[in-house]
This record gives sequence, C-alpha cells and structure tokens, in this order.
Amino acid sequence: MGKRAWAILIAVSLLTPLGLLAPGEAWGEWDISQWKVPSWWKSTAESLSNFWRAPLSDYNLPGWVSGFLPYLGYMVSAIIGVAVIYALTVLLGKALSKGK
Amino acid sequence: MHIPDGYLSPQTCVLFYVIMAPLWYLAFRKGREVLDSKYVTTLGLLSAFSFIVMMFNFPVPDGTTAHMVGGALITSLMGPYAATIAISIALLVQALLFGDGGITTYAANSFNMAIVLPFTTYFFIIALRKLLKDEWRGRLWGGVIGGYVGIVLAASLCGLEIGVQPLFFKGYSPYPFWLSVPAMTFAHLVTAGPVEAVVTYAVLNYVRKYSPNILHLPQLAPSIKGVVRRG
Repeated sequence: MGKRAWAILIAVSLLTPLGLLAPGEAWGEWDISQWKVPSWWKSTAESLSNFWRAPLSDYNLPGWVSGFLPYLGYMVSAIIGVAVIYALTVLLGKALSKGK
Repeated sequence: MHIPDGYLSPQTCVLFYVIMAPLWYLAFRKGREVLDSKYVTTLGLLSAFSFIVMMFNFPVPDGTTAHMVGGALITSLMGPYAATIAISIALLVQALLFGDGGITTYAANSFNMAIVLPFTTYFFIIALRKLLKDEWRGRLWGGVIGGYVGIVLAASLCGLEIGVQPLFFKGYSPYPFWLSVPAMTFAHLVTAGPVEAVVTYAVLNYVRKYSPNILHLPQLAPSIKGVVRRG
C-alpha cells in the first residue's frame, strides 16, 4: 500500500482548499463571542476556552488573513497535520508493537 | 462535530474523560496484543487519512457544513480499536495545533468520533458478515451502512451533549437540545453520512484491487464470545 497510498494522500492534501468552498460553518462550532447571551455567560464559557491558543488556529498561518492566503494556509496546514499525525501514530504504534 | 472549548461544562468534560480512560486503555491493550510492527505504518496512514478527510467541508442545505470522519474505513480495514487510536490522535493534533475541537472537550469528541462511529460500524460488520456469509462483503457493506448509521449516531449524540448544557449548566452552550439534536442529525443524514459511505465504499474497493492482503491486516477488535475473526 505504501507508495501509492502516499501519492494519493499528498494529492488529496493539495486539494484541501476545495474543502473551504462550502459556505457557512459547522453547526455548533461558532466562536463564543457570537453567542446571544448575557456577558457573564460568555465569560463563564470563555474561562474554559481562553487558556489555550492554537498556533495554527483555523488551519491558517498567523497573519495570512486575506485573499488567497487562507487557502494556501489551509493547504500548508493539511501537509503539516498529515506529517505530525503520521509521526505520532507511528511512534505510538511502534511502542505498542514492540518485539513483534 | 468538533465541540469547541466552552461549549461543555467542566462536569460534562470530566464525565467523558472518565468514560474514555478505560476505552483508550482497552484500545492500547488490544494494539499491544495484535499490532505487528509491519503494519504500524498502515495505522499511521489511516490516522493521516482521517485527518485529511475531515478538512473537506461539504455544504448542508441549512447553510452550515459537515465533514466525514473516516472511522468506517479504518474499522473495516483494521477493526474498531484501530479507529479509536487513529482518530484520537488526529483529534488531539486538531485541538492542540489547529484549535479545531477543544481540549476540555477532547474526550467527548473522541467518544463521539473515535468510539460511537467505529463501534457502530463494527456492529454492522459482524451482522452482515454473518448474514452474507462472506468476509469481504461483510466488511464492505458493514463499512458502508455502518459508517452511515454510525456518523449520524455520533452527530446526534454530539448534539445531545451540547443541547443538555442549558438545562443543567448555565454559562456554557446556550443551544438547547431541541435545536442542536435535529441540526446535527440533519447535517449528517444528508451530507456527512453519504460522504462517509461513498468514500468508504470507493477506498475499500480500491485498496482491495491493489492489496489482495486487505483481509489479512491485524484486527484491533474486542474479543466477543461467539464471534470468529478471520484475517
């Protein structure tokens, strides 16, 4: 499966900007600031969401906010994500399969 | 289906970590038992596959979007616990690196996508394997039908988790279940479910064409009395 699978995975990674074309957002994944609730309610929820800032938030590179850059950032994020997730899974898999 | 931080109360988050801890342990234990070092890279590829397919957002007729998860394909190939491991890792990196799905909600998201979806698929594989008396067709149609049912079930559950918050815990998700459950179920019935089913069907057939040993991958599945696993 090796080489062929990698070729497909990389090709699909390069196509990820297509995944941004659908209008709108996933249901229930809106920013807390968009909730129509009193401010004490928002600050309660934000006490859980403010402690971590993802370095590549929204699959974009910091500062790449306009034009085609978010699409490019999305693609770069896809490649970074594939690399990191593959490496982590293989590391864990190696630890689990030790001696077999 | 990635619940962000702040949507679930601390109590709900802790509950799901308590539920997930033994399930992660069982998945790792099964991995230690049956995972051959030869197939570690296959598991890595499947984890990356799950991550990448989740980046394709498809339009839902109500103006929102939804995506497949890939749990059905992983379950058909290497069993439900392989999907638990692969998807949990993808979700962890999505939360930490990309801010997609929360950290406090990580266990809840893992339960929906890395347990409910794979084990629903696995249930259909067992049933159809028996019914069709054929390993390959059981895995294929179990993956397709189980994947469709499983992702819808996972999404409905996700909606329920979000939707019970305003009843019990003020200060977190303000969306009641009579809005969240229909919205999540609808999005996955009409959009993400069909995508999960079609991609599972296509990739399984494709893999079978080029890797005749598709049915002989290690199976990370629970040992259930009366169920004979081949492969």
